[in-house]
Amino acid sequence: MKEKEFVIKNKHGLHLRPATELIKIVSDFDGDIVIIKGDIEVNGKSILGILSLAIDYNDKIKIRVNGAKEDELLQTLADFFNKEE
Amino acid sequence: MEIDKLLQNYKYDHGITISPGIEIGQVFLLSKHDDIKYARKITYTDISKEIDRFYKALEKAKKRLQEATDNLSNSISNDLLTILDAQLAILNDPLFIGEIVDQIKKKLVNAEYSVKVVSNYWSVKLSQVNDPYFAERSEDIKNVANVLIEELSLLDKSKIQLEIPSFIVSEFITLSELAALDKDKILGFITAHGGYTSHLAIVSRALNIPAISMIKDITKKLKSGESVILDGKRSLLIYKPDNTLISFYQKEKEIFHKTLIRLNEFNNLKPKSKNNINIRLEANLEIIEEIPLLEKYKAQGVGLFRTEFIIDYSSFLPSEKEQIGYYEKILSYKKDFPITMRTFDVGGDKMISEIGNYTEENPFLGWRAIRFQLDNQSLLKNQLRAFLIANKNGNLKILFPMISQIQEIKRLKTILKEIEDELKTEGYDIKPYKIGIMIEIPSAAILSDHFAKEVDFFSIGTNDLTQYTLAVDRGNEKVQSLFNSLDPSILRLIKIVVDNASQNNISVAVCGEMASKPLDFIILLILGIREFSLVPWKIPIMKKIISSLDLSKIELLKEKILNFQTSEEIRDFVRNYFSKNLEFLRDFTSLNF
Repeated sequence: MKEKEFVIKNKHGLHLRPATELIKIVSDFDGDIVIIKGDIEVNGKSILGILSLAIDYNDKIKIRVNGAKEDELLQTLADFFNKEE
Repeated sequence: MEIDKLLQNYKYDHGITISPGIEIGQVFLLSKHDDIKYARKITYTDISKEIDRFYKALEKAKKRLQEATDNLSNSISNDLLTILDAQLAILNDPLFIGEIVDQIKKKLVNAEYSVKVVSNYWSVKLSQVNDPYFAERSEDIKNVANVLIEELSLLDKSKIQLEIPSFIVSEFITLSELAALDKDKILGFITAHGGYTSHLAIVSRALNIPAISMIKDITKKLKSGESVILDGKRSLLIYKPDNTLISFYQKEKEIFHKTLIRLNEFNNLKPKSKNNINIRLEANLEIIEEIPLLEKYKAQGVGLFRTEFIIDYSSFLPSEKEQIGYYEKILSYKKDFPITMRTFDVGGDKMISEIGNYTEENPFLGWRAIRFQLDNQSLLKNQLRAFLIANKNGNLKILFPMISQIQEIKRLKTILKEIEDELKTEGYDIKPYKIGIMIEIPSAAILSDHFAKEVDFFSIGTNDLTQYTLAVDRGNEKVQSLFNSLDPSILRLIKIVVDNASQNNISVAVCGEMASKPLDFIILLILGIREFSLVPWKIPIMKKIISSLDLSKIELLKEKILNFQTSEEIRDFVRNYFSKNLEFLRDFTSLNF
């Protein structure tokens, strides 16, 4: 199990397009993913869950992963969040 | 009139008769789109069956959405593609799915209701977020829910079973709802919406079920079990009839049935004029249920098969395989029986309405039919491939709508050639087929000499030709009265098309409403039309008319008619001149000709 913090760099926050792309990245992952904003935790494979967090520009979120290729996933996620302009 | 006095004692409403007939009986209310309708309690033992149903519908919904994405990825914006992706993601959302299954298990309710409850919850939750992006997602959830519920109802073939013969009452009835109904016990349809050309109207007429529409707030006026009388002859719906009225209408019903029998006697006439000219009478069809009418009314072919029903029925874009199945059912009807299949004639807005907010200000002048398909060729190619594969008897005629430019037909012919080559490589046997275009846009009529060299046949769509030529939107109440297919301008255009077709030795048929109206029909014969495609149950009437005419004599009236200045003059002249030939129609007023 690993956890990592990310800052949202996209000016529109984690809105539809990035959320959908994020879902595509995590849905293949063999294991559990939890996305945490503040006190709230949601299943990272749930688009509704992610959207309900209403993640905005500059928000800090934590992603906790638990599964076989967790390091790889975290790296992919880091690339994903870094490339958001 | 006796009936006016009689009706003074009863409550009744005026409507529009969309399928003729007279019936007496009880009503069954088909309420829709309110949560209460969907809720049905289930028992413990039904839980796993219900969850199974849900998963089946879920898979079908996902498949449709995926196909829609694949079909449209080339031609719609990235924004719309993302929306499709989001909806697919919702269908894969473990939270969404889990909550629905939970509802079924814990609340012991059916899948439809569970879908409604869960999607309402999320829809509200997301719409409360203070960001328009998130708020829009609540629309997606509603859309996904609708698709799921529709798939669930498509899974149950006989969802609604009537215990006793009844009228079906609803604000509006969609094609998929019609498909789910057990037709045997239906006395008639009573609705608030749905015009003469709606699916409901077409299916009712095909099945000889009376139907009346445009009765406002009908579902508020009636409860299941109440008695009514549907008077299709006078377009009335009469509430709470007593025995006096009922006996009056029993007699009316008998008279109507006798009329139908008389009409069917004309069936045995040959469509041959007094001077021995054969007129070809084919049928306009829209749905597979209408196929038995071909035999009943002795149609000589299908002059227009509108393929749009597949889209309406499935509410998503149909796959090639699905289309092959449908087309084969129709094309295999009879050997040597020509069947003209028109490619999808829908607006771009309708095709992608499920997935986004694409609207046009002027859909009739817009991105529709062949224009949409040439920009989105995977859809066109799927349909054309399906046509050619299904054409096992070699009786297929492909008809392209909305053609306005010569390059369009040239491009289509190239695409067809590519498809033929493709299919041959895949091992398919290409049987002969014909290619034709609809003449409905004025430019095609005016340049029909050029077009005639590119195709095997023309089909004149007089409804749209009239709209475009007179610049009148038939659906617009303010200008509806200006719509007139007997306008001399339309008749002159028709003459141009007939002459050009004849000079180039290709056939020309009329498939618009004019072919179904006795007076217009005669005028078309005068102009030289010898092939018609019309609603099947009007074929007997036209046979009677044809058999009473000497075409060599009436052709002499052509110049006179084309020189009139107004449609009124034309109508008056023809009505007078042919009053004897049309006299017999007086016995058939209950059929609303």
